[in-house]
Amino acid sequence: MKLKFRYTEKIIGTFLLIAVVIVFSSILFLLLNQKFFERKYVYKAKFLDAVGLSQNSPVYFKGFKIGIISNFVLGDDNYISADFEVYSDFKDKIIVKSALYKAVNVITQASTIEFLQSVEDGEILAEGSLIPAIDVPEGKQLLAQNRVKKIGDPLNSMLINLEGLVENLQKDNNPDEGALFRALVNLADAAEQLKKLSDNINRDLDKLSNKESENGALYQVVVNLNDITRDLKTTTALTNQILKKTDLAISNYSKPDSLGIKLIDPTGENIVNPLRKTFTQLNEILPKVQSFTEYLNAQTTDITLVIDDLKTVLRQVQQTFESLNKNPLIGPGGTEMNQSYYELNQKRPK
Amino acid sequence: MKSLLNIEARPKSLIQSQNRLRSFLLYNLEIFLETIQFYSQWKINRNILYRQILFTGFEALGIITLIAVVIGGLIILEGNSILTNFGQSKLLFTILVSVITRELGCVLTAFIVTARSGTAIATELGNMVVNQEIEALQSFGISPISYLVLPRLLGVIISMITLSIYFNVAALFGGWIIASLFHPIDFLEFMNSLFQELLIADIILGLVKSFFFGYIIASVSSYQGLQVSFARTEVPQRTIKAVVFSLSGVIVADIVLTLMYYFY
Repeated sequence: MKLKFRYTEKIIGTFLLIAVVIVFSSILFLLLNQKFFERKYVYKAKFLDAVGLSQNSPVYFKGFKIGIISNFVLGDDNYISADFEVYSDFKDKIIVKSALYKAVNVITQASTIEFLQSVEDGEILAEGSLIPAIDVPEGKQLLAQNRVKKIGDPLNSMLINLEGLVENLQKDNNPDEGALFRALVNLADAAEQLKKLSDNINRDLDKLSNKESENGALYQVVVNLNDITRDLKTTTALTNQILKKTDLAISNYSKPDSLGIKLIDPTGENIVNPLRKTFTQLNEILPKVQSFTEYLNAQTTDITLVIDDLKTVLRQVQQTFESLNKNPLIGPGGTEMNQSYYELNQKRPK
Repeated sequence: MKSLLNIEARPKSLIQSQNRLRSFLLYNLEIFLETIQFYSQWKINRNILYRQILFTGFEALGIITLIAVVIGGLIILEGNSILTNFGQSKLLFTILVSVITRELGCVLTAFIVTARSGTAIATELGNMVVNQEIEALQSFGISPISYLVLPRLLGVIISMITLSIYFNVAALFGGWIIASLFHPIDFLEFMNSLFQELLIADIILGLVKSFFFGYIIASVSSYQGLQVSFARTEVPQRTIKAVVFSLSGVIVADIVLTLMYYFY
């Protein structure tokens, strides 16, 4: 204790000196850290609100602190007007058409302010000029013109863009004022018209499909088409039979050994050969006729008349062949064709 | 001006005063007026001042450092367990700076100084009144305020400010030690992160608070000590009052200064 009293002044001096050194070195370090001795270029900043803003809020550009926000007040236009002090090292980064982006932490309400430099090379912005945040009209305009590109939360950026679009559409001085709502109204009208049309179609379809109704045309068409298809099937079967008969006739006439043939055309030049040629050509035509028939199968009820004509022709051809086959001088004849022809007549469409 | 501590005047002005607040304010006014006289007697008073700083400041350094390191570490420990759940570990530095520099550094130091020096001042002055040493000084024409109160007042204020600075340094250092336990962090990097959050206003606020806290502790303790009349049994009673009123004054002043900091 005596030693302590003896060296009181030295102890007290050291005790106080260390404290003073700590305080002054801390203050000096802080001043250097805050670039207090550097010249600052002051710009005007404009924000939508002061949420998260505080005195000396740092402003970052690509991770570097390029300045601070100070002296913010609520302006007459209900926007926050603030001083943006830029350190001299970053003066060249402040070019025209640049903006600020203030992101607020939802938990702490602390803000991070980011400087968004214009994507286009521009002149260095004059001191005292306005640098808007992207949530004020001037900033939204820069964002819409793609002068600045927002970095960070893409969802937020989309929402800001959408908000800007909607706001622009609702502006009084915008020639497209209310375009969004007009589009929505038009869309609603179109949907209503479409619904009416759909109802009409449904009603018509009901009428057409109603078997008992007088207006059941569609049903009738389907029924007719069914009959036509059945007739065509019958016709095709008949054609096959004709072709078989034709083959039989050709085979009969290919070797004309009978006495009649020898008496009528001994050389075969006058009757037999021309007739053979005729049959051969007819044989070639018949597949085409079948194809044509199939083609007709795909047509509507108007083709029915054509089919009937074709049937008439085929009937005549059949009669010709039948008469030829029944000729006792040429071939053996038969009754099978008559039965088929009878059946054909029975199944004809009314 | 007639001294408020004059034996003849005391029953009228202080002891028998019904308005204690008014008498305390008058006491503080007298301290202010006696300050000039204190500097005129500097050679006499400086030894008392040095010893007061030695007792209140230097000798309290050990306990202040221990408490500061523990508090700093606890803040990091608690903050880390909560803030990491939100992915907000970076806020540890903000909390450490705001809690230690703005609030706890000054307040806890004030509590310790009250417990150690406030009680000592009240007891010492109370005993001096009982032993009629105050009367003896006045009979020699020496002002008890300038000779006894002012050196203690200045000593407590200087010690309070100095101890707050040490408390802050020790608490931040303790925070770094505890933070290093979670993941090794370079001291310079830690300090750099800390200084990113620290403002000059924080340091000034801490110093201003320490000044007022020191003044409150010293003035209240000395006032209560001088309020002892004749009986020795009054001394511990006044000492208890000195502690209670000092702590209450510190808390009220802390609230007022903090409000002033945030509103102005």
